[in-house]
Amino acid sequence: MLGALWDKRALLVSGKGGVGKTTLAAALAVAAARAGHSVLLVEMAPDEGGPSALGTLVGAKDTGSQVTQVRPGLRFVRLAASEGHRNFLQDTLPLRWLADAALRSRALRRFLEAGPALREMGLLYQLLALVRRTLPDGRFEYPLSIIDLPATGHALAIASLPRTVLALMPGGPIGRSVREGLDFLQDPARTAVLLASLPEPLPVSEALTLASELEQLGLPLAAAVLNRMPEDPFTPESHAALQRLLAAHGPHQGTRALGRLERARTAHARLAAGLRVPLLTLPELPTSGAELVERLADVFTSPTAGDVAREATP
Amino acid sequence: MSALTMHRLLRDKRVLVLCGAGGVGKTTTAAALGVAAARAGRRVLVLTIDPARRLAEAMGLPENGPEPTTVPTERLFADGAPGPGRLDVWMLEPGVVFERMIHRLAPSPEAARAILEHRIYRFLSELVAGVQEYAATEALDGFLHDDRYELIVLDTPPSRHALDFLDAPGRLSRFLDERIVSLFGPEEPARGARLWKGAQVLVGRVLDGVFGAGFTREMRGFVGAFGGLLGGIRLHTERLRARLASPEAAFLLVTSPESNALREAAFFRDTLVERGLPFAGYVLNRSWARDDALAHPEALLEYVGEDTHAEHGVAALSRLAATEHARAESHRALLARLTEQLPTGAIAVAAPDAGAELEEFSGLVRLGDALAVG
Repeated sequence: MLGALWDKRALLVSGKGGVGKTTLAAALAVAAARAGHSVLLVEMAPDEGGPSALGTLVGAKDTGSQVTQVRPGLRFVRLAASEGHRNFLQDTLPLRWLADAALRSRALRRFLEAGPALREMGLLYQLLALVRRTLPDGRFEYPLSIIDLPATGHALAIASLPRTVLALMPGGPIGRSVREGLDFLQDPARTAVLLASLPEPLPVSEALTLASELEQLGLPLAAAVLNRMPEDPFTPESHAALQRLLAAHGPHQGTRALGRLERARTAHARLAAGLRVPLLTLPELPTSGAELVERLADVFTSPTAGDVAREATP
Repeated sequence: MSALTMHRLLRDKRVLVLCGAGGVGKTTTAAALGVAAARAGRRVLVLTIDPARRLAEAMGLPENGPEPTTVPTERLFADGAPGPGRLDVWMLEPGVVFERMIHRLAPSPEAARAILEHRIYRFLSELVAGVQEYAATEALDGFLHDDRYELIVLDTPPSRHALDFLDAPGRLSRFLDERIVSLFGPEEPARGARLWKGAQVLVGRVLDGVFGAGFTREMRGFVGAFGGLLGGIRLHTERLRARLASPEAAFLLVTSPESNALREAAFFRDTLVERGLPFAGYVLNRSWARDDALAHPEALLEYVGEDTHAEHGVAALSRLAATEHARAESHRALLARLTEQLPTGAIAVAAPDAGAELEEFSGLVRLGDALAVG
C-alpha cells in the first residue's frame, strides 16, 4: 500500500486536532526518504508565528519559509500565506509597477491575511508553485510532497476552501488559481489523502464524518491510519476467562488499562467497518518527539506494514 | 489545598473562561464544572460553541437553539433533594448572535437588513478570522448584564493554540479597520482632490486585477454598509476586556497530560499575565494520576486453578497493570511539576479519565464532584 502512495505527487495528512497528525506526517516523510524517494515535508499551519512543531520533529533548524534540507532525500518547508500572496500578485498583475504598488499596500496585505479563505488561498498557491517546480532536465524538483494539513476546528478548511473562494469571487484570477488547485487536489493520480484517528469513541466518530466530507468534496481518500493502538496481551479465551474472574472478585489494578483497551478494540472495529479504504494500525509506543517519528517510520518501512493494511481492507 | 481553591472558584467567580487546544475535552470540563457549581447552589450558565452532540444528549438539551436551555431540576439533583442552584446551557450559534448584534448596532432596521442580506455577509467568517470567537464574547457580554446568572462558564471555540480566543475579537475589529475600509471605501471622494482620485483609480485597478471587478464592487457595497458598526464593535470588545481583566473572572487552561503540556501551560500563564488577565490555573484532563488503591492482579492467581486461559488472562492483566502504573506515574509527575511552577493562588487539578461514561448526565456529576472536591 505504501509503495503506491510514494508514487503520488502529494500526500495530504488530515485529521482532527490531537490525533498525532503532525507526528504521522513526519514519520511518513522519513519512511519515504528511507525508501529512496525525494520528499518534501510541508507544514501548512495557518498561523505563521511561533516555533514549527513539524520542523522540530525532523530536526529542521531553519524554519523560515525557505525549503531546507534536513537529511538525504528529505527537505522541509513551512508555507507562509504572505509568500503565496506575493507570488500571486507578481504572477497575476500584468504590469510590474502595478504589482509593486499592490505589494506596497499594507491595507491589501492585511485584507489578504485577515480571514481563512484568502490566507489559505495563499498557502495553496505556494504549495502548487512548489509542486510544479522543475529542474533544468525537466524532472520535478519535489516529486513527492507530504503535507501536514492545519488542525483547526474544520480539518478540511484547505480542502473546502476552493469551493468557498469560487462562490465568493468566481471571476477573477483568484478564482482561476484556486480552480487549478482544486483540479490538482481532486486528481487521484496525483493526490492521496490520509485520514488519521485515535482508537477512542469520539475521534472515530469524527474520522468517519471527515471521511464522508472528503468524499463530498471529491478528494481522493486513500487510506486511514489508526494511531496509538494499545498493545493487546490477550487471546480471546484468556480475555473471557479474565472477565469471569473480575466479575467474581471485583476490579484489580490494570482495570483502567483494560477498559481503555476494550474501548480501543470497539473503536478500531467501528472505523474499519465504516471506511471503504485500507486501515493501517500503528502501535502505541512509549516515546515521543523525534524518537517516536523514527520508530513509526520503522513500522512503515517494515515488510509487514503492507500486509497489515491489506488484512484490514474490507 | 488545590481542591479547596477550585471549590472557591466555582463559589466566588462570575466568569470562568476555559481555554485549551482542540481535542482536550474542554467542553466536557466546562459542563462538569457548571454542573458542580449549580449543584452547590449557584445559578449557572454554561456557554459553549462546540457542536458536541453527545454532550448535548447527555444533558438532555437541543443541539442549537436561539436561547439557553435549563437542565431539568430532577436531572440536576437526581440523587437527592433539589437545591437552590440552576443550570442553563447554551450551545450558541454564532450566526444567531452575530445577527442580533447587527440589529442592535445598526442605525436603522433597514441598515441592518442591508448588511444581513448582502451576499458578502454569508462569507464573513471566511473573509475574517475570529467571527466565532467574537460571537462568544458578544454573548458573554450580554449575559454578564443579565442577573439571571451568578456564574458563567465559557467554553472557548476549539483552536490550535489555547489563546487564539483572546486575539480573535481584536482580529475582527482590525479587519474592518480604517485601512481596509479605505481600500474598499466609497469611490466618490469627499473633496475632489485630483491626487486622491488618481490613487483611488490605481487601487481600483489593482483590486480588479486581483479579485475581479465583480467582487471589488460587492466588497465596496458591503464595507459601506458594515463600516458604521465598527465603533460599536470596538467599544464592546474593550468593555468586555475590562470585565475579563477584573478579579471576578478567572481563566483556566484545560490540557491533556501529554509531554507538551508543560510547555503549553507555561506559555498560557505567561501570556495571560502579560495581558493583565487573571490566571487561575490548570485542569489536567483525562488524567490517571489518582490512585485507585486496588489489589494487584496476582491476587487473582489463587482462583485460577488448572485453567490455563485464566492464568494467561491474569498474566495479561498484570502487563496492563504495569502499563497503567507507568502512565499514572508520568501523569503524577506532570501534575507535580505543574503544581511546583504555580503562582500563588493558582491551582492545578487532575480530572479523572472518565472513559465513555460521559454519555450520561451522572458521569458529568461525578466528574464535576471530582474536580471541585478532590
